[in-house]
Amino acid sequence: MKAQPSDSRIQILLAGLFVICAVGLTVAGFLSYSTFRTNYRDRVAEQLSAVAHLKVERLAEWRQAQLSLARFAIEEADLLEEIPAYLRRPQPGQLAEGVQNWLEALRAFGGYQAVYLTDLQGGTLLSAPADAAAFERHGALPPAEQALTAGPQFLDFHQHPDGRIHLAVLAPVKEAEVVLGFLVLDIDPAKYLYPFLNEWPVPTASAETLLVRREGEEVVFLNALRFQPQAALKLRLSLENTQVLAVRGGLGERGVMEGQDYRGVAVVGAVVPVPGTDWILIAKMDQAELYAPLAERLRSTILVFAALLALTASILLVIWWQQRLQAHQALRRYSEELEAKVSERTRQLQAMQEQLVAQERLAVLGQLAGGVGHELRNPLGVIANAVAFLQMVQTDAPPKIQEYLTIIEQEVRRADRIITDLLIFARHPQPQPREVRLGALLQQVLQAYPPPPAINLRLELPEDLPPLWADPDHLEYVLGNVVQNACQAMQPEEGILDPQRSELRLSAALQGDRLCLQVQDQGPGMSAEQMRHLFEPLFTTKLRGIGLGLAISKRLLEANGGSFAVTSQPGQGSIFSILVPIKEVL
Amino acid sequence: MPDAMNILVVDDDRWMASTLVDILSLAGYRAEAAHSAHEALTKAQATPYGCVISDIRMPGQSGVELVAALHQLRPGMPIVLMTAYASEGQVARGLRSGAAVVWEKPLQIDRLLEFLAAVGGGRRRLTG
Repeated sequence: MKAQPSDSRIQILLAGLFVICAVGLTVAGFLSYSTFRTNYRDRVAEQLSAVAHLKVERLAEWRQAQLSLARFAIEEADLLEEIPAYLRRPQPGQLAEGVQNWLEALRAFGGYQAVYLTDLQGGTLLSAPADAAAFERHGALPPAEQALTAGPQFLDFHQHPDGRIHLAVLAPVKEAEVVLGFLVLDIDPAKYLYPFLNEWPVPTASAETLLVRREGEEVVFLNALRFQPQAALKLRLSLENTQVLAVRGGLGERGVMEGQDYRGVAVVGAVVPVPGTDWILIAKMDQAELYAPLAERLRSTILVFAALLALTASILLVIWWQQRLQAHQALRRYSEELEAKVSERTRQLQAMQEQLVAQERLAVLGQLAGGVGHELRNPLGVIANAVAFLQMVQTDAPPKIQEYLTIIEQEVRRADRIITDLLIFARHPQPQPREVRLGALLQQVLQAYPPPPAINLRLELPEDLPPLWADPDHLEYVLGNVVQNACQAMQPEEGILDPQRSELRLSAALQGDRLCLQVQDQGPGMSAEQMRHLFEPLFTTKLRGIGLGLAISKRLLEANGGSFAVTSQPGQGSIFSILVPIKEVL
Repeated sequence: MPDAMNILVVDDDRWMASTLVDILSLAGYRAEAAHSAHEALTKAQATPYGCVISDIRMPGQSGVELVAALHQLRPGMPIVLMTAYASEGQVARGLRSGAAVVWEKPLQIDRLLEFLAAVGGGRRRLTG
């Protein structure tokens, strides 16, 4: 059998392979994801930054537009004599009505929440609409000299007593280089600014733009927040909240950064200052929303690589299983072979055992037969003597008496032959080989075992056969036995013989260093079963005899270096080939 | 028969001995029986037998031993050994000890008579 790697070695190998694959896949997955994350974050930062800058740009444009609008307004006011005139003498009357109309027109034109005309101290003289709450100035107005040169400027976000947030442009109204009062263009941030700030290029759930400014140790939120619409100017955060993006902006940090928003939610935002103002614009988005694709990507990456890992594991498992199957099959084959070997060996052992038992039985039988035979020979000898005596005495006895004496004599001889067989079988033949001439041997055999007269004996013996080398007594016994058997096969009882099948053929031929003596009969032949037991002791197909003849013959022949070969078929007769060593030519 | 040969038949089996004695007497010999080697030796000392026919296996001394003893007593005397079942060793020892032949029982009477005739003739030639 081929040596199979052990199951545990394969397991270790495959487990190692799996670990390597798992590590490789994990690293690949991690690299893939982290690359994607880096790229994605860069993209997000770019986007947020782009949004913030765009808004800042537009905010600046818008402010510029507001200032320009205010400039036009005061230039127009300067040109209109009624307004300086009114400011010099603010009295109700026709002049005041004209100015009021102009203010109304300006408000409508500019879309202002209100338009005020104030004195140098900021006190409201006229307003459009007329019933608008009086302009309450917060913080110092610029001094007249400064206002003269500076032109229109923004009054930053402030809260009116009515609670509304205002953003105003303050424009000095002058005459002949003397500031007479101020035109206040009150902008409603909720009307334009806040919606603009809250615009986002794409629909989102959390994106917004903040406008904050620093006030001392706080940052103040200037616009209405997406999640806190009332926060404008009300929501203030201490600078200590350094996690908050607005605070960080207030502390001077710029650029895209991660942090918290006013709700304490993790966000990413771009912090950009608005030029020409204290404002800081923050375009930000919840990390949860912004990084949702990342989480999605992470999930899908994990999923894909887990699937790959599972696939790898499956492949390795299949390999392992196949290996196991092969090993198992090899093992089964091996065990089957082993089983076959064991059963073959068992069969051999049983056969040997049976043979041993048979041999032992035969040995016991042989000893017993030897003993009994010996004891029988004495009485047989006495009977033979007695018969011989009677035959000698009764020479003129009646024929019947003589016939019976002959019968006794012949039967004694037969009994003696049986005993002789038993005795030969009981002892181990010790051949005393000599040169044996085949002709002389045949003569002796045919004398000792004469074929019945009805048998047609046919001899086919070449002239120049070399002499045999064997114990002549043994050869005589063997050949005699075979001849006798052949005769009895053709004529089992006296008078029973098919004349067409009565030929006994004796032939001889050289076969290498042996002489082959063939005894061929025309008897009934033998079945395969009979052939198998042919040389077993106590096996006989004959009516008479105890079945030792061929067993003894085989033993004697083999002791002399010879062997038997038998061919036979039922109905075809048998051929007994006796192979005997020839005398070596020196 | 004044010149008939004296033959001693030795066998512990009395029937064997007596039938042989009868046959030999019938054949014209003076034959007598002994039933042990000891008896045979005693008789042989008293009588000069022309031939002794003895069984090999007997109680006491065996036939082979008897042959040796008889040869000391009467060298050249032909002795026939009989055996119901002789091993090859026994036959060889018997022949070495001086037995003329070793025959298996049952004896072939005509062969025995031929042998005795030859022995007698030989002796007659020797003596005559």
